[in-house]
Amino acid sequence: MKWRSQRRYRRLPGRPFNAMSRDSLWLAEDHLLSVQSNRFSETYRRYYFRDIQAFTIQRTAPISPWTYAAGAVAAAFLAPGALFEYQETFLWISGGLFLAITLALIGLGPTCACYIQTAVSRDRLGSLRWIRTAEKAVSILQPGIEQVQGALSPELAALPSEPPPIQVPAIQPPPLPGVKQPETGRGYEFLFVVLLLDSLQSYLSLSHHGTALDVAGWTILITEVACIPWLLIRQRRFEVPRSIRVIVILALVVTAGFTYVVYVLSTVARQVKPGTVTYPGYAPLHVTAVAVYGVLGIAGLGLMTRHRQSLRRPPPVPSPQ
Amino acid sequence: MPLNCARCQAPLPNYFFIATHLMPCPSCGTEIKVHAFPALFRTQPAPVVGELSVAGEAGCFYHPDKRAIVTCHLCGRFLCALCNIDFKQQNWCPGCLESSSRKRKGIDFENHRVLYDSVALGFATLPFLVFFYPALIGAPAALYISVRYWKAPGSIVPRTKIRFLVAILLAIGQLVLMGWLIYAIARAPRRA
Repeated sequence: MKWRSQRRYRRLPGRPFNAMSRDSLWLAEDHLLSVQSNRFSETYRRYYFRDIQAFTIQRTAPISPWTYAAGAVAAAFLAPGALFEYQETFLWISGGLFLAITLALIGLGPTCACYIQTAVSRDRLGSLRWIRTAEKAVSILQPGIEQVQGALSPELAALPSEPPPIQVPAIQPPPLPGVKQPETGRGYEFLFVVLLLDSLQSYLSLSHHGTALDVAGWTILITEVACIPWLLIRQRRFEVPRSIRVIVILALVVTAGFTYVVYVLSTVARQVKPGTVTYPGYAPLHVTAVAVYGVLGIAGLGLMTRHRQSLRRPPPVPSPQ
Repeated sequence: MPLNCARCQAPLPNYFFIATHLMPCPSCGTEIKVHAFPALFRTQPAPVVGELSVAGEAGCFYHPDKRAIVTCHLCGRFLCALCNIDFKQQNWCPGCLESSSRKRKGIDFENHRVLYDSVALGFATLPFLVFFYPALIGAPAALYISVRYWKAPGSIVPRTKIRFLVAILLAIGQLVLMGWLIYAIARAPRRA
């Protein structure tokens, strides 16, 4: 029985924060292997050391956008835990967990986009999302590349690169103010994961009742209510595919509709029979919520993954003319 | 290819190549750090055309009028400078390279693989966790995939067979649970 693949590759630091895909970098004797995985299949791309021209690390944000999300969820758990006296243990443990995640994300430092350039391509390395990680990975790669190409001397660095940049305008104008920038999609992915959680919570509500589920439901609802308008506002500045915009609007409509219907039905049920947990149409409504939120979440994550893959394609190179 | 800013595409000045910390792009202000290597400054070689052979000299297999300079390391055909492909520090003819790529001879030619262990694990977990009853189909499917593709090549990077094992154990557990449920339901009226 062969338990392990050939130990030909060594893993480099870097792990993306993505639910649907997983990119990684592997070091071989003479090349760098970039693995893009959608969990069920892998696509490989090899960059041979003799062909690698440069790594470009571009700082993107002081901390990861996920830090804000984790901090908000931690606050959503800790605030009721501090103010009220029911389910304190659950709220404190959950809040502490998300607080630890928040602190860990803060500790990782500023985020970045890392690109690898060869003579014919420039690709984004999706697994290198923090500057510290990118620097560490490049420092591991550097000796191997320098062994093949030699070290870069300051005299060589002073030479103009090929093709000569004489015909290229020295400085290109920045993007026009009215032009939207491409959306990286972290916020959208977060919303779609929350929709999936909503689906799961609705499913569990079919067979279980209790304060923990209620708190989870309210946390999810508050997160959705905060997240959707924020994303709709961001759409004025950042370009996203039309299909994703439609899903966000559908999520808003569905959330508002379900909340309204549930509120009306539960109020009526309590008036008729005080202390009741369920209401007429409880099961069909929750089954519908499971299906709708599940479909919206999965479709959104799939579309977002496709959009992110399209963003990773090499940007157009300005023509010498 | 010149080195451009990743955001605004403006060419970066040379001082970026020796900078040891993040520096703002002169055009858009984005903070960038560049790790450059000598390949960036390598001049592109002129297009290879291959010299014409004279009487008595060996000619290329694909271009008989061109002088052969090397032989293909796989098939031994004579190759001119135009047909010689330097890959993995060996001389390849276009035919052998294309054939090896098609037949996936060696992992250096592969650019895609299906992870059957993850597929099996997905069948073993997702139907059960999400809707329970689809596990009636998911569990046998996970078992079939695990057994059928146990020896199939997995990822080309290091990876164990633990997912296959977990998928098999979960699938068997689900089938036992389902069998027990069916048995319990079948027995219920008799008890009444």
